Amino acid sequence: MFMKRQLPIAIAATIGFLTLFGWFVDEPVIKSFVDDDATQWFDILASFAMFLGALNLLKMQSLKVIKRKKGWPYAALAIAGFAFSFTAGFILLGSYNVEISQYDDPAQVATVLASEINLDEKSTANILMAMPEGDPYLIETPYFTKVGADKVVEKINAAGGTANMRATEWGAHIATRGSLFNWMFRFIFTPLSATMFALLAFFVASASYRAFKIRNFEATLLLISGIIIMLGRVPIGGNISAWFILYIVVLALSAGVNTWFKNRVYTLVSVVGGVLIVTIAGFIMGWPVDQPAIFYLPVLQDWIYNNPNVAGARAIMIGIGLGIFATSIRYILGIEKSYIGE
Amino acid sequence: MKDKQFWSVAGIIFVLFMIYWFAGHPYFVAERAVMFWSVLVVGGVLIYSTRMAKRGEKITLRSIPGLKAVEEAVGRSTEMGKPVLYVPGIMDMDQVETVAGVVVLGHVAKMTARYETSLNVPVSRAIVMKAARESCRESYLLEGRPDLFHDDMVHYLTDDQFAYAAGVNGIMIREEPAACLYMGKFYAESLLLAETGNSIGAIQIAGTASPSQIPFFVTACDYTLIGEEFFAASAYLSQDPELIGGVKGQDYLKILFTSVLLLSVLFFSLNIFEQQRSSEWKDLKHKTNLNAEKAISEFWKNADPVSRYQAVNRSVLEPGAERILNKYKNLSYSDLSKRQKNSIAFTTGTLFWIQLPVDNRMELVNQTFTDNNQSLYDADEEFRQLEIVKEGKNNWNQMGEAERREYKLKFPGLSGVDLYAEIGKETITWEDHEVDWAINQRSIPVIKNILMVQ
Repeated sequence: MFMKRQLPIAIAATIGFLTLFGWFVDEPVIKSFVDDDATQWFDILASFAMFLGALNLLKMQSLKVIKRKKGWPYAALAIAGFAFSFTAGFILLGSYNVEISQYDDPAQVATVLASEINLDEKSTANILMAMPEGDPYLIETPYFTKVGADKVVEKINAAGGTANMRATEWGAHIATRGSLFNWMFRFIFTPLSATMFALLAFFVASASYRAFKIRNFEATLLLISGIIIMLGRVPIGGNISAWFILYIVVLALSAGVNTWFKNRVYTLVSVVGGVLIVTIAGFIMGWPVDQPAIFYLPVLQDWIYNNPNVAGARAIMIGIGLGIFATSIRYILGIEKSYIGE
Repeated sequence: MKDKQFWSVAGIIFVLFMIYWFAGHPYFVAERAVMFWSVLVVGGVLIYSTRMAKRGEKITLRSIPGLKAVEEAVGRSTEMGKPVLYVPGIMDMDQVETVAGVVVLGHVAKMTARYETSLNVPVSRAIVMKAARESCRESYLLEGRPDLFHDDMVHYLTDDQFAYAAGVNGIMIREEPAACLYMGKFYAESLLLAETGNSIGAIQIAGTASPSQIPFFVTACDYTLIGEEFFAASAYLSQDPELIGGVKGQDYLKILFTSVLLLSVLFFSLNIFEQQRSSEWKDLKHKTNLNAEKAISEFWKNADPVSRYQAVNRSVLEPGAERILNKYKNLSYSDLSKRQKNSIAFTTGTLFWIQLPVDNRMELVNQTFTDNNQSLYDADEEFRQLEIVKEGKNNWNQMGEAERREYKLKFPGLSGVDLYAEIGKETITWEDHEVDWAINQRSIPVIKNILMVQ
């Protein structure tokens, strides 16, 4: 019981106090613990915990395949993908380089090398001739298999050059460009991630469509400010005259007058009067595109973005900051124990 | 005021700290004293409110629709015979939001145990998987339904953000849960999850403290817990007096911070701080504005209409705007409005005094103060000695073991303040400390220190 209840709380409290007040302490050991060691301990723990997750994933997917549950082919694909990544990372090196240390006749060697580096023979020969004296030439893209690399070495040796195969070091093969693992990352994983990310564009459009429906005052406000910011941030917004926006404002206010007073005369007066005032003002000022500035879309969107938006965001951030502090204090003091299941 | 024990302990801590402070406060980073006291005050308020609630003080929480809807959502799932999907975010247990998400999961698990609804919790981190499992197991045990709990209820998908989103989306499409709860830390995948949940017709309740994701959840979900509502969820669902007291404490702190904000705005507006009333401030303001006017006038005289247009509008010339270039060609400098001059100042980089960031203005004022009182500055030996020791101490703290050994060999027999002084003498550059000297001379040290808080 002590191990499951009191010990976790004691550990959380001790480390929590140490990390919180360690920031105010000017002692090297504590400073290095707070700044470096604590986060490194967590990273190490999380890395080892990955095994638990991986085993759980395999177990879940395997049970699905074995019991032939709905969608089991996808589970089989997941297991195959896991196996492939595991193999590419831990079992197969997948990265063998070919280095040409000597090439007395570059043109002859180029006849073999050109197909390996996807260039014509003349350019390949020029590259070899331009290499500094004594410097070996390394074929940039490594080969996935030892056999493949050896074949190229044989061909180059037969063409009069001296080539040898060099295996990339274990560990470095993960990041080496062109290795099997790297190929899998660049040509399978990255496109799939990009595909999921690209879906966001469509989801944003559909979410915006739903959000901008005029149901109430807040939704209307969201719609109007959204339109202003979207238009104000693109070149066309700069071409829309402030006077055009003023006319729209006059019409919107007149709609409000009509809704409030429900009187045709009042509405007519507000529309005609508003349009007249704006027109006269426009003639007097010479119809500048960007004046009055508050109705010029780029200026208006800038104001909305830098003022009410920032104010709202900061208010939320203050609340979030307080919430985080209060929650953390509860965990450190042991008031909140739900995270250990109590 | 009613909790004598609390005030006694607070008093003891205060007295002990004062003794420690006046004894030279060894090992304490003095520059962070204000932050230290802020932490103590905030923590004290929270602890006080928690204790008051524990002693029976009646506290009413406003109703939070999102939290009231959690039980409705679970009930809906029970009626439809479909599972509840709970997503505790994509980050690990080192994030407070994830821990809060796991806590709320415990309460949701109690409901699903009570109503015998199946619960599906796909997680993105192995440690979260273990913590969430423990939380669910305990909840089912407390409800007297340990038979309904199984480990696979909480299962790991993947660490990768979009792979996780794809996995959860797949679960939603295949299993069609009636309720989707998103409680934790989210990033770009938030809208992917919420929109997919929307497409299957599930009731969705989200809670996160990630400000950039809140708008997406508000748009796509039926209920959203914004910021601190999410952290109050545990208090709200459990109705535990201690936790509710903490929520009240947060409200007290909000009142305190808002008051400080309003006071600060008032002080700055009324130029209460000495720097703003000083002659250096007024002189620099006048000089800076004069220089800016000269530079802008020169720019305007020599610029072509396109450059003028771009400087005034702070944008490139848009297609079709050529027709208005004549206006800029004929516009004289004296006809420019204040807004236009400010725009040009931004574009050309010669800012007016009001456009300079507050920190830059303070630095200029303080530098000028030192320049105007150079003789006093040169004669202030006490300040120099303190700065040398401070510089040496900072350098010592940043040194590695090898470098420290070198200095110890270089200055044998010296340690502590004496050693710091020798190191400081070697490395100090006085230009950086002239501003500090000016700040030290100001006659409102408390406010100065608050302004200088790090």
